[in-house]
Amino acid sequence: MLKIKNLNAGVDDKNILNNINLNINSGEFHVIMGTNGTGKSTLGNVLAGKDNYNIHSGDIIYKNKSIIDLSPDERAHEGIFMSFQYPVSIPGVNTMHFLRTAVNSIRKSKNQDEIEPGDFIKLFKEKLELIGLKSEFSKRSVNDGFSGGEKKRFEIIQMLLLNPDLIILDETDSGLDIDAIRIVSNGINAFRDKNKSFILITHYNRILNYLKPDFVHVMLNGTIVKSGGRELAVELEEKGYEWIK
Amino acid sequence: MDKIIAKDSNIENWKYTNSSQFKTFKNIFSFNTVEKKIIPKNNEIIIYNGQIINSGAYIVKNNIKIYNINEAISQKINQIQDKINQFSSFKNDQYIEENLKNYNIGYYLYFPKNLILKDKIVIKNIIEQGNETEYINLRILIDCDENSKVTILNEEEFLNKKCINIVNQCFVNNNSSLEIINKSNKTDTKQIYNFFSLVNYNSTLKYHTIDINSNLVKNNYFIDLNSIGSTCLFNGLNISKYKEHFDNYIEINHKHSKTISNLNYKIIADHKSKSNFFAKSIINEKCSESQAYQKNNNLILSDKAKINANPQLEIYNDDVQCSHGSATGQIDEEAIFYLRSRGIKLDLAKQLILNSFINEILEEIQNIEIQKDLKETLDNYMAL
Repeated sequence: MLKIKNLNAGVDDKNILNNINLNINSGEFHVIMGTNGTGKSTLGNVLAGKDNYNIHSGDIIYKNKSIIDLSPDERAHEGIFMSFQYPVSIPGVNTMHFLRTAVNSIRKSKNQDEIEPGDFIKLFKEKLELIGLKSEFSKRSVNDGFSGGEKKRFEIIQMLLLNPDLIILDETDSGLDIDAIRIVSNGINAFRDKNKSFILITHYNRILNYLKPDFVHVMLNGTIVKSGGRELAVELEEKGYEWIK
Repeated sequence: MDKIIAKDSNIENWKYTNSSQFKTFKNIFSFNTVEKKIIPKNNEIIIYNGQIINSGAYIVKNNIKIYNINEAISQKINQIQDKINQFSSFKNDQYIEENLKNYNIGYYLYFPKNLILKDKIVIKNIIEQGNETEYINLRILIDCDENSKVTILNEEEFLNKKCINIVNQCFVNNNSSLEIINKSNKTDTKQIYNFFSLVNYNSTLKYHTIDINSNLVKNNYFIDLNSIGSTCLFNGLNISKYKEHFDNYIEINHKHSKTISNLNYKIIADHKSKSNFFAKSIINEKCSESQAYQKNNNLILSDKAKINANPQLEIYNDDVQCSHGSATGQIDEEAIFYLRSRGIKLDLAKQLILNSFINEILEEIQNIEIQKDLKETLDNYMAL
């Protein structure tokens, strides 16, 4: 599904990611852990195509095609989704209107008809219930006045409705209480199948108890320095990062 | 013919507009008589080239009166001169003096006592004549008598190049509520507009103005809150494009205790346009327990567009609640990226954000039909 090849990238001219190589097959769940400021979120932003995040060398191959020249919306049309670490609030843009516009934009890119408003409302309310949010949520503005937990839950609702194939979860567990971690993890797990791949960026082992990843990678100074299975996260929690350095 | 003398640029409300831009205002325009039959809808009053053409059945049934301005003043209808005399200083503004001396068209609109209207009233003011050098002096008087509740949609269609000098004096009498929504299409118009309002005991003026699609506009609003419970909600939006120049000065004068004003104004400036916003809420010495709020948010869409924003509070009493704030910036790039990362294309993402900016103003208009109509007009205008 995704092959990151010798990737050097960063913000404007500044290089942050150094020679990243990563292969992610369909159905796999990968975790990236690492100290603060080591480039984990930069990797997420580079994959999602954010402006000013430039690729200096290397390539990103997704579904057998390079995506480095695609805009963020074109990447979303291809099935890439990033759950933001700090979702931006957009006062005045209604949650439901925003999401219906997003769903219809993706459907249009696939030459599908727009979803009927009535069908969408039903679907949206189903997902709200699944993630433990009240139906009044549909009347609010995007992330405006949301608590930290509500923002993260809303990101997961977007993932469920947009139905992407490659999902980057940037610290989805931060700001969530123990119950919310379980609910959000259940939502993610229900979404997993053999055609979907995940990259979870996190600092904590706790969410991994629910998500049971296939691979764990450690990133330090913009480079993946160690890869392993689920047990690597447990080891990091016990020992910290010093032993890897 | 008199020539309008350039204004004194030291006067505060003319700070951002050089009066020499109105130098084309030279002679008074003479209207040609043109017979026009326009059939009004039930709730419409049609005014064509300054002449009152007709009123719909709803207007007649509710005893709403409209008079030619000359007739109303010369025949002293409803002792209108006494009300006009209540307006204090006109700030030595020569355009106002010129209008009051030489008005050539206009109307007096009277809403009787105890009139509670469920439907809006639509005033269609169409001016098809005029040119670039001769000015039209339009004078309007709106008189909402006691215990009445009225919503007016003021649709102005000024259809060719023209210069217009308007004075509008508006009375909101005791225990009344008057809502005015201005919707205009004034491509190529150069306009000076002076609006005065007296808001009396326990009365409310809600004034919504959407300023788009003009050449050169200087609007001055002077609103006096005269008695206990006098309230003004002023809600404005200006979208300036191309080389347009807009200048809005809004002065709300709290003249009594327990008066309330709430002003919300937004600007979107694109291309090489210039938009100026200057608000002044004055709370005088004897105005305890009054409230005055000002909020101003502006978006600049182009490097060459310019916005001047100047919200001011002048407070001479300690026992008041007041706030003001102003923010000007570009569209939030983080918000654009967020929307695009969900598959929404750049143009649509910008449109969503601009619509949300505009909607806050439109949502203040309680009449849903008018709100939808304005939304459609603005969508079309933004798409140009």
